[in-house]
Amino acid sequence: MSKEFLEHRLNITRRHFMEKSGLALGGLAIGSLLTKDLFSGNSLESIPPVGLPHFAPKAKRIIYLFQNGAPSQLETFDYKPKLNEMMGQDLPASVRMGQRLTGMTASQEKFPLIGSQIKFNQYGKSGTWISDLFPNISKIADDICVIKTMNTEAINHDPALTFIQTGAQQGNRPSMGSWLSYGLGSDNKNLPAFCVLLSRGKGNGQGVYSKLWTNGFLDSIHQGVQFSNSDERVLYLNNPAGSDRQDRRAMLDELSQLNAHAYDEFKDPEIKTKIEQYEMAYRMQTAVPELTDLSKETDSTIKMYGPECLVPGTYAANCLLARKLSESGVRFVQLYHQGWDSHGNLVNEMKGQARDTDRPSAALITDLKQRGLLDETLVIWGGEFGRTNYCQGKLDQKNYGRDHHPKCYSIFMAGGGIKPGITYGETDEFGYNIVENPVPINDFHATVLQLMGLDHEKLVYKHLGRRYRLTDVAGKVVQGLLA
Amino acid sequence: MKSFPKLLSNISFFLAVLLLFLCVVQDKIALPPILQSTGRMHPLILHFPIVLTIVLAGVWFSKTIFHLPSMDRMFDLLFQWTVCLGLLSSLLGLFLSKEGGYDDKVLFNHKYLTIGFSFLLYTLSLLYSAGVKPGIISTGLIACIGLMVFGTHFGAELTHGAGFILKPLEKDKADNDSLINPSLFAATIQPILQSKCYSCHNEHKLKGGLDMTSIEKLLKGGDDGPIWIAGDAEKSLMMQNIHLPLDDKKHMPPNGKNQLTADEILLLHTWIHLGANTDSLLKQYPPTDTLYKLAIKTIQSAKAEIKKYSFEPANPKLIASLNDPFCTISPIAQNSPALKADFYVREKYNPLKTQDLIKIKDQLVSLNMDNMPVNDAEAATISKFISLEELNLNNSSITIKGLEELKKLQSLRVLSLAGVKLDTASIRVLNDFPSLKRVYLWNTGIKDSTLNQPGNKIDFNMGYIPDDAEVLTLTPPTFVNDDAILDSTESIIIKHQIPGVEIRYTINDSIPDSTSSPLYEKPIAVTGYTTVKARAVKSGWLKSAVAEFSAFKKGLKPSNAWLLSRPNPKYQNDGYTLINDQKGNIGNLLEPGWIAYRETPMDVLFYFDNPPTVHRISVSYDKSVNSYIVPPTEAILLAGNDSSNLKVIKNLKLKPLEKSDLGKFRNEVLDIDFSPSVYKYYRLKLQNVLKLPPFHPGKGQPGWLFVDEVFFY
Repeated sequence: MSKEFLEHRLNITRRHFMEKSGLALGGLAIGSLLTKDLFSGNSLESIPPVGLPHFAPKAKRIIYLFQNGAPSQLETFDYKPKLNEMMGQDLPASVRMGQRLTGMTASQEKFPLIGSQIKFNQYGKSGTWISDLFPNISKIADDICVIKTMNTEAINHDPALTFIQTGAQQGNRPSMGSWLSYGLGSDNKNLPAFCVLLSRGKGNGQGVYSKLWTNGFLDSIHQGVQFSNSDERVLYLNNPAGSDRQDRRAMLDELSQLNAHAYDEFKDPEIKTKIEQYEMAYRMQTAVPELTDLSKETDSTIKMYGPECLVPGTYAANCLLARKLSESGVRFVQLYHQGWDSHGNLVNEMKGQARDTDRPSAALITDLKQRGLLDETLVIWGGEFGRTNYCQGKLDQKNYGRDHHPKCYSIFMAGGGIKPGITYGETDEFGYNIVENPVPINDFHATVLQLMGLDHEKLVYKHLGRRYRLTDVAGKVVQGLLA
Repeated sequence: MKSFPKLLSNISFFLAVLLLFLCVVQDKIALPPILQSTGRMHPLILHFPIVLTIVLAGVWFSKTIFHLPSMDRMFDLLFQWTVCLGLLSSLLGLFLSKEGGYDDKVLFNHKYLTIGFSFLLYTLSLLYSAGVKPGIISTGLIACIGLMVFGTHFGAELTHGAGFILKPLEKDKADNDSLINPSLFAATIQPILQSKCYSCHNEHKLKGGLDMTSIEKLLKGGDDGPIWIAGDAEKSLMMQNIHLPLDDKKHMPPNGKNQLTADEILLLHTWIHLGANTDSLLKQYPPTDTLYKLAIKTIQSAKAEIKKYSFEPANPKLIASLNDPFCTISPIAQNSPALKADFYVREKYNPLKTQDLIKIKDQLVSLNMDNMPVNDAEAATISKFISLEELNLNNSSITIKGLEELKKLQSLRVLSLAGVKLDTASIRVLNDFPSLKRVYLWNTGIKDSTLNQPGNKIDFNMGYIPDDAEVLTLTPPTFVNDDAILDSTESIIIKHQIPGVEIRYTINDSIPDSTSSPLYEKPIAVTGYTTVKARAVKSGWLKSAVAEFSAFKKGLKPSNAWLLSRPNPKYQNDGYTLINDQKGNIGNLLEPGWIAYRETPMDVLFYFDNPPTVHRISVSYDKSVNSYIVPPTEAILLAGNDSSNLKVIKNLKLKPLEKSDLGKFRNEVLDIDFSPSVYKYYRLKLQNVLKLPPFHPGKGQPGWLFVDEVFFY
């Protein structure tokens, strides 16, 4: 082999070298013109996050109430009386403009428009349109900011979910919560920075899977920690029968010595992560019982969230726990509530889903507000895409369904530097296309990071020779949403 | 190639003559637009002669000092270039100066110093070609650099404003009095003009003849006269220009510059509309005044943008040493001297830690002691954190005495007291806080809804007040038991999460009544197969739906069991499944605990090593009529001590399926009672339905028999 190497080296003449370096220098020169910071000595990966915001943040924590399965915008926040007027008529081709459809409705011969069978009203000083599905959210209309012009690139649940959670459709990228844990660290060292709570309603459900709260290529300490829906919300946290806290301490001390040896030998950062996680779990033994003890919640709190808030595994219980986690400094609390995929029997299914979520969601925002925490906590409510303005299957006013629609959908946000009491963006009268102020997913991410005090272009991780961001190569902050 | 230096020197000659000529006649000529454009190249070209002159001097001195004749030709060429570009730059500068809008004095200095430089350099080059002594060239070059440094300094002042370089080093020297008590103009209008207009309209750079840096000059206006008419925003030139489309030549600020925000435009408009008053102090406006509200909004947003703190940052080592897992201290953002501290885990709270924070009292702006057992003694400590702006004392133990202490906090804006036991007297104390803007009083015992009057300086947030008219339905009670099979020490335990709830239950299959059914007080013991129905009741709430739980008492366990007939291959378990009474499989037929028969009747032989006294055998089976899963029609029990010689001790004909059974979906139990006896062997035969009745969708077909467990009592 060494002969070949030698020959190869001999083939490189001075002339050859000059030729190549001339080209290379030219390339560098162009590169430096195109990317202004290329040679500034501040290459992005040389400044790993120090666990502090880039600038003074508006929000310190996030609670993301994810409505899994995609609630229809047309029955919730995007009021379109035109659809009721044109009930049963075919969706004009000029509106659809060749938009691709899912396999579930692509073969339909007709696309009969259907208006919401749920009434809408205006609420608050802001006059925000909210449907009758949400009597409690209506009461806090002036605290929330409805965005009617969210839009995504994906048309099916898995890629759309993965996109809004991780900034890419393909998976294996870190979730929003992991990016924030990476960028800002954990305030409370006794709890994970990123917690995940699951619940499901009776509507047609779509799966949630742990890739949605993955740390991707970031250290595994940034992974979302899924809480259990049993009475014991963090599994395996209690000492086993017959062993006490001292035993546990002694065991951990031994173990961390062994791990430290292993680290000295292999220098694998995951070993360090492991040691830290054991230590945190030890401290969680003290912190978690305090957190999950709901006996101190007042009667009015229980009434506010609804009686289900004390039944583990319900959305209401998760909202209450989310408040407690957030109050205890958890950076990112992610809830998923399944059952919004209303391809059929939409009105009944959505009524059930709304019964699950309306009161607890409103209660969470009110509860944060009355404790003085809403100013520093960003609450997000919404799904992965919207639903079509036409009926899936045969038109039936009582029992219709809607297919997936990526081009516009509604979410709402509250607190943490979001302008309250506004409705942002406008869709056309068919509720199909965006007319004004679109908010693509990347912009949504950029805005959320901005509120948390992070410049989305500076929160970067280099992996396999390429720099990654939550917003990847896109995204701009939506100024109109900032208070 | 040899003629190239010659060409350069000819161009230089031409430029020098032209420059000299224009210097003389500059006041008498007008520039054609094409030259105006070339004039604007001045800021670009000027950098060449600056750099080249320095290089030139460098080459000259290294050449003369180290005697390097090889550098001669390079020096010659460099000299020609420098001269040529120097002259060109001066010429273009002369064109640019004709556009006007600059401070005369600074411009004069800049113009003549740099033109002087160009000519001196040109002369020097002529002398050099004439072969004068090197000493003359050295002196000349030094003089050139001197002229250049001073000349370009004035040039820079024209572009960037006076004192540009040293500005970041200057401390804020603003007048204290006007800071504490500013006029509305100084607090809001001036900062807008400063950030968006000054760069082109200042004392040195008078675009449109307008200098906006002082009130007098603002009132004077520019070339087109006053820029506003007090009281008439629509006719005011400034507002008109601001409202022009962005690509309009006269739009202000010009396209490409930092634009005014909508709020800023609104403020400017309203201010002019209401008389463009430059004197009234901010505090003289009533809080309800539109202009005042707009002004406050601008000030607050500006503050939020660049919140500056006057204190020095704390030592990072000190911050690190104060941090522990139960108290996190960190700067509020990168490069900010301000610190925030958060306490976590009530059980681990240590008052000494609060004492420790005194070390960072100057920098601590936000303190979160949510849920910590903080008392009045610590409030006294906290009152020493002089920079504190936000304080969270939710669910702490402080009283009005503590609040009196906290009153000393001069900068405190937000105070959270949710869950603290207080009374109305505390409101008086809170009103005395110097800078307090918002207080959270939910769940404090203060229920005064009249607190929030318009014009109040403090916003009291009282939180959620339950609507008594709204009555909610309770959730059903839950059963704590994991298993459906209870041994003699176990009972059925019911619980409800909401305190003060009554649980009413029945064990006779009837629907529990909210008043007459037994009240659940202690766990319910089971004697055999028991179904408990329970519901929750509480005043002020609607009664819950009924929850149901069925349990078996644990039976005697046979030593073995053999299947004498073959179960359906899909649900083919062995006899052990039937006596493995650790776990009831009620509900989920897909669990492996089930055994099912369709083609043959069930026929099982049980065996006891040490036969106990048995008086009852219970069979748990499933009844899901619409799924063809139906109860057996006949049960035959044989017993004896010799497996080949068993006698029938019980033969039960069971109730046939009825039409009303359609849609039934539940677990049922068949009890086979007999006089207490001791046998080694029991053989149980259960006949499945051979032909489903005519009212059933599967009429004529055989029914399924699904058996979970066989209990011996």
